[in-house]
Amino acid sequence: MVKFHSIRGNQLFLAATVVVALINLWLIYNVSPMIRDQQMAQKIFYYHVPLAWNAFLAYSVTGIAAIMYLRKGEPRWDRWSLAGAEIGTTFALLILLTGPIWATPIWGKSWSWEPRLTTTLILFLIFMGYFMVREFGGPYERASRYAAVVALLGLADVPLILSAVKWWAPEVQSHPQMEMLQQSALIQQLFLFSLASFTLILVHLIRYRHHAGELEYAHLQKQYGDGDG
Amino acid sequence: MSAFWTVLGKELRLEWRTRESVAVMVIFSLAVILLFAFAFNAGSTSIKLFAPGLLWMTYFFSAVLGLLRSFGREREMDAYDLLISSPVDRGDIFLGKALAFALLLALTQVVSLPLFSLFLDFPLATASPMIIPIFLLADVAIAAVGTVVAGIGLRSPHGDTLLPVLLFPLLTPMLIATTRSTSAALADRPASEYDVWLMLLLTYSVVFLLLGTFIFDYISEQ
Repeated sequence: MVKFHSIRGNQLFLAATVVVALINLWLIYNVSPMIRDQQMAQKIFYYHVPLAWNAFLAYSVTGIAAIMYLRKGEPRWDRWSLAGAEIGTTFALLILLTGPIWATPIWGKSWSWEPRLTTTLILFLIFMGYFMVREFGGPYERASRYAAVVALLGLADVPLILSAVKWWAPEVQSHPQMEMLQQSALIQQLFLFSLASFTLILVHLIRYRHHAGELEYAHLQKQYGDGDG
Repeated sequence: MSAFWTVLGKELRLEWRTRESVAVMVIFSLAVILLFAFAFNAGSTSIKLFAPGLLWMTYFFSAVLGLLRSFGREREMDAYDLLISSPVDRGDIFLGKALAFALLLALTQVVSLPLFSLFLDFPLATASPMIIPIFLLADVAIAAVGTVVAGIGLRSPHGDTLLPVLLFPLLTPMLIATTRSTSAALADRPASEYDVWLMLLLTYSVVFLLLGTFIFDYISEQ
């Protein structure tokens, strides 16, 4: 198999993604208006929300691929599942980092048991378990199957976690959820642009990771012959 | 469904003959409660506030031990391979093992709960009878998720360390619902005040029982 970035289409996609990301950066710092009370801190939303969106999309890829893998047993689904899980967890970590950066000046403290923040943290921990199963689950094929099961358990848990932590601390409800929609048209357009830009990054990363997974698998097969590797 | 009853009967018979899991879980939970009592100064009134949380933390830890014991047995003389190579639905095997373990957990609680109420000074006699379905549902929930995760751990080289790491984050919503409803039921509040937690507990148990039934096939294959 060839390297991911020696494929012409991928080069073009990467170039487009970088250009759009740079434009996005420029727009956020130079064009997007300041919001009263929040000043510079508000700008993190052009990152934070798209990061959450990306994590959500990536974990959806994991969930769908995990179901397909369990049903069909075709290894290619396992690589999609792994790619989604790794990229999704990376974005989940970024959510957990950018949230407190914003919360420190606005809420006056870095951590609060806000439902979505808490859910992200728990999901992050579940996927740490997922990677441990990948590492320690035994032979490649079995570890993949176990990992798919853990992913499904974890994703089935998400709505339950979310409602549990929501009712658990009803006083902590200061997540600025609808604020984005109440902002001016310019802010909304810039926000959508940022969302698109981050989605491009996500698509590229997942495809890249998937490709790397295929290379790993091909390598394993060469080393150990056909079968489970 | 007959496989379900066979597995359930086998698990309970094994436990009756060895009395390993329940004994380990009872002794262990007593030890943990003692540690909690010393760490949080049992004489103070604030421990009453934490009692339901401490209680369930303790049962979580002892459930991990019990699961390790219950699945550890399956390793001996390849018992597990024989079990899953029998021509029955693996969903039945899962349900049998999970519900048997839920019963063992409940048995552990029947023995240890009166002692905890003595040590941590929370009223058991005046508690609402709702405490029984709460505990049973919580035990089913722990057993359902625990059986799937322990099944994964069974064949993994580091399975015993994987179990708590995988289990605890998955159980968080259930822990919240259980401690909330336990503390309300201990204070004999009307069920309408915590019905949302009961619903969550019920949903959680049903979701993971079903998921486990469908998914157990994939983790019991070689």
